[in-house]
Amino acid sequence: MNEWILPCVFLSSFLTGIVIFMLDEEQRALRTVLNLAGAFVKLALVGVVLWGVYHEQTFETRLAVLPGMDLIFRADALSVLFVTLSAVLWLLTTVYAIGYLEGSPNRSRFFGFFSLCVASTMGISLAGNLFTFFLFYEMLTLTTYPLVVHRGTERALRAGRVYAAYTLGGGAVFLIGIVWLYVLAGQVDFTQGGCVEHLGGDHRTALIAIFALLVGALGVKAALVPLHGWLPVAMVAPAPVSALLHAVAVVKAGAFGIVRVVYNVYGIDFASGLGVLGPLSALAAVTIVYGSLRALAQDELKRRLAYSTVSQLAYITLGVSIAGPVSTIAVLAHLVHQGIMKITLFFCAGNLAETLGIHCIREMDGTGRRMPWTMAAFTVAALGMIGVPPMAGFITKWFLGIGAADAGQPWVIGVLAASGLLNAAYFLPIVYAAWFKRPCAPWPDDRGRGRLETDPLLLWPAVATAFLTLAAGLFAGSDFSPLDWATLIVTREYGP
Amino acid sequence: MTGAPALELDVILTGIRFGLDDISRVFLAFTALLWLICGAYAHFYLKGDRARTRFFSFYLASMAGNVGLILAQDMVSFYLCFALMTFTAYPLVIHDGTPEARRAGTVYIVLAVIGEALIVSALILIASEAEGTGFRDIAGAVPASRHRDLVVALVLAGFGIKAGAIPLHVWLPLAHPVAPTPASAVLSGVIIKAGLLGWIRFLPLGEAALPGFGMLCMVVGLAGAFYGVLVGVAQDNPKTVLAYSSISQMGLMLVAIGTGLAWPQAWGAAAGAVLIYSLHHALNKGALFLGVGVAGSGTVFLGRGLVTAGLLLPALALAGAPFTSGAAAKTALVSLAGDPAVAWPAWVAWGLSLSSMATAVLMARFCFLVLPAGKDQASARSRGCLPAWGILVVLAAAAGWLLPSMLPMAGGTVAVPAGAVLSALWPVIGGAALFVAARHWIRRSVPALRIRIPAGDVLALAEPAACGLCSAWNGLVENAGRLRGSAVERLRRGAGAAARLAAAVTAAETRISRWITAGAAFLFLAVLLFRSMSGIG
Repeated sequence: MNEWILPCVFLSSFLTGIVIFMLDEEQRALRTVLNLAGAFVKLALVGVVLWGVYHEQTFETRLAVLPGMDLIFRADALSVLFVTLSAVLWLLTTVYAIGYLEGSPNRSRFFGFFSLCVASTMGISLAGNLFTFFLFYEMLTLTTYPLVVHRGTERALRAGRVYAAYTLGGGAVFLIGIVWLYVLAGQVDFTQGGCVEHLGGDHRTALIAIFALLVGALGVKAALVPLHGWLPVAMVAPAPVSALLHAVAVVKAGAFGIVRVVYNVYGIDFASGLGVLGPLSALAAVTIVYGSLRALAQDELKRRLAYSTVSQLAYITLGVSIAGPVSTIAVLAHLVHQGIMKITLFFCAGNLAETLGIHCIREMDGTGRRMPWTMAAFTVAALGMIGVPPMAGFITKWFLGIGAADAGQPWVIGVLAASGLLNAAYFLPIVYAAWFKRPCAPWPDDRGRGRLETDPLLLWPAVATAFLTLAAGLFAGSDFSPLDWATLIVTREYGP
Repeated sequence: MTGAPALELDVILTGIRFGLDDISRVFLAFTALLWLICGAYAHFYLKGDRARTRFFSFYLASMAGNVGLILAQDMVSFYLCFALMTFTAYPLVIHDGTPEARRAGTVYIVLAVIGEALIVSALILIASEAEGTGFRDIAGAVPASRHRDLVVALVLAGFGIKAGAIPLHVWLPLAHPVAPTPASAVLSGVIIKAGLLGWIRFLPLGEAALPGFGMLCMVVGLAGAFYGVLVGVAQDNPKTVLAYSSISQMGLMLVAIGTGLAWPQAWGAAAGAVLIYSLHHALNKGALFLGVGVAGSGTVFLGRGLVTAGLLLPALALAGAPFTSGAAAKTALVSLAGDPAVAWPAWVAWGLSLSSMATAVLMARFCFLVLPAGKDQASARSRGCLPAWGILVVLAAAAGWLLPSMLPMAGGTVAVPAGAVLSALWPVIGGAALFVAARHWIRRSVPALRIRIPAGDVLALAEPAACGLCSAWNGLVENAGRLRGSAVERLRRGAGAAARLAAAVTAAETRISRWITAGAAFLFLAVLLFRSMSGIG
């Protein structure tokens, strides 16, 4: 059974996507049932894998695609972390998308690609070697493109072009890096502590160059400055897509890839011996501050959130580039924390746009009175981004700071403090306007959906992820919290 | 220190501990008391206010934070409660919604967030070298830390914002007065003490001798004590005068903190002085603020004359008149000079003595502002507020008699012997006389000296600069964005490959957007996958 369960995790959304393509546009009920069934089946399977990995079972599936090129699915604690995050957020985003796309055209296409996109994310997280990772990484690019251009407007098509240019370019560089590495090292499975150390004597320069290629390519999706240009443009996509893109699918795939390359291909000790981590941490620090500074100047809500993603995601890269168990814990916990906080913010932005027609921050005065639940969720997530306890973001900053100080790099704490201040500078005015100002004009496009402040399908996912944001921070010390699982990964895989 | 953590919850955050020790007992006593009385006062004060539900929600949340940080026995729960108190006090500051209140709120929140950032940086540095996050674990960590000086500087500055240490005090004279009166009382009476408690918890007091930082604290503290008075007398709003008085009084407490930093053996005595002083200041400053709201009113039971007397009493206590808590507090502070471990420079003792007189001057200014002003404002509202205020005045007066017996660890003799009554009285009389004389002289002879300083003093200079910087930054970002945009445009035009790529992408786009193609492609992929799977199975 252990051999089959991982492909099933992948297929639960892949097949759903394929079947949805076949459906007629009007078969709404069937599509919804399929979507939800897929999401729940996946959740159940992931639960089984989670339980198994917790009890140290091994899950591995190996398929020989080409001689010397295996397709490997393997579940270690790290992949389970990402898989669980994706599965939970996929369910919530699907519910949200059903409410969001009510009555708009091309829903079959949308949900089909949406499922395929999640399937690729599953493949990425379960990939057991670089080849498998690359395969699904590219599949992700191809499946998200139709989602970005879904609206079909001139602006959406332009965003799609930018997105494709960046990510396909990144993919090409990635391929070069992988081929070069295969030439040197043969097939590289992800192994704890790295697997290329034996080449260090002869191929030091080559390995540094390959590292630059791999991280540079992954940095496109992870939106490291200066490769972040596509992200603020791509926010033109529908809200559920932005939410998933910014929380789990695309940007997180890049960050997760960097984690894999540093921890499981090069190994943290070997990488720091190569001297490649110093520049990476500097780049991440610049990205954190630059993203926040750019976010400050945006008036369009989703653009501000997009730049905030640029900044927040670089925390992961920053933590990866600091050698040490505590910073690793922070990184892994932040993979989850950033996902739930950012998805909440995008859900809320979508709610504002769909219910009241609000797209810009200057129109948000008094939204707290009109949509209290939505703005409460927004506030919780924004406070989390700033790093106010007891939200999830505080846990990240706390452990990342301690990890940096442990590793003898206290300057990182300065970066964290500066970033916290900037986050406050661009989130608190929104919170203030929502709760303490009065609306200066009628809402641009009030559709007053239903008895609640908005459609319940739009509202509950946002409230649920806001609750997760609070719970992940407040109950960080309990079993199966993101922090606890991250600690488990570190003690099991990276610790002595 | 006695008392083990009474409540330990490992599942919350990184594990939180609550409990009481000697210091938190005293803090909890005056904090809980003032929040309770101000809450009762607010019940009447906000009668008919449309947003009173909002006020009380945030009032209670802020109180929870304030009480929580006193009970906290570890860093994370202290910081959690501190943040809760800070952020939920913001709606109290801007409650009235006037432009002044909003400006004060903005200054408040900006400095508060900066303070939070400094504090959390310090805590992270401490946590990285301590065994755990409990206060017992960190006691030895700071002196031994590689970053000791940085930690001390961050703690001093971070909590200094809350405690109103100059030059970080600029938010305080703006925010404390604009809040509704009961909120002003807790802001200036107890919330300000959270900064003090932060210093006590996180500075290596009694653990390491840091003469440099100790001296810095004493200089800043005494400077604040006099600066607060000098700027305070140039204010027209009685509540602003009281806010400046708080800056001045917190300066005196900072002198005691500095003494503990410089001479660790003296920390026991200095801590006693700090505790007496904060209890005294909390009750009396609370009574004064609440008094602003009731000045001029009176009922059958509490005549107008009694109200006036009740206003004078805490003012006298603050100035350190004999038989008040102020006398006990000042004696405890000054008697630190007699501690064998302490070697104060002469100017510290002199400064402390003179500060009594300065406080008397400021209190005289307050009385001149508040007593005539309230006469025709006597309303049903302020009459309703009278009982709560009266109880606080009585408690504050009683503290003068109870303090010496309650806190035996304060060192030195606190009970005032008969001979000392006169010596404690002369600064009060001298200060008041000085104020009256100066007032008379300025009114008659040199009207040019009737200076008014805007509340927030140096902020008036810094604010335009800060605004200028902000707009300059925004301009820079916009221009940079435009420049970058045009550079990208030129690059794109120049590179033929990029154009070809764009064309290819557009072509692919039309094909991909026909979903059936893509669907078929993935079906093919699926079949491939299944085939290879069955191949090995």
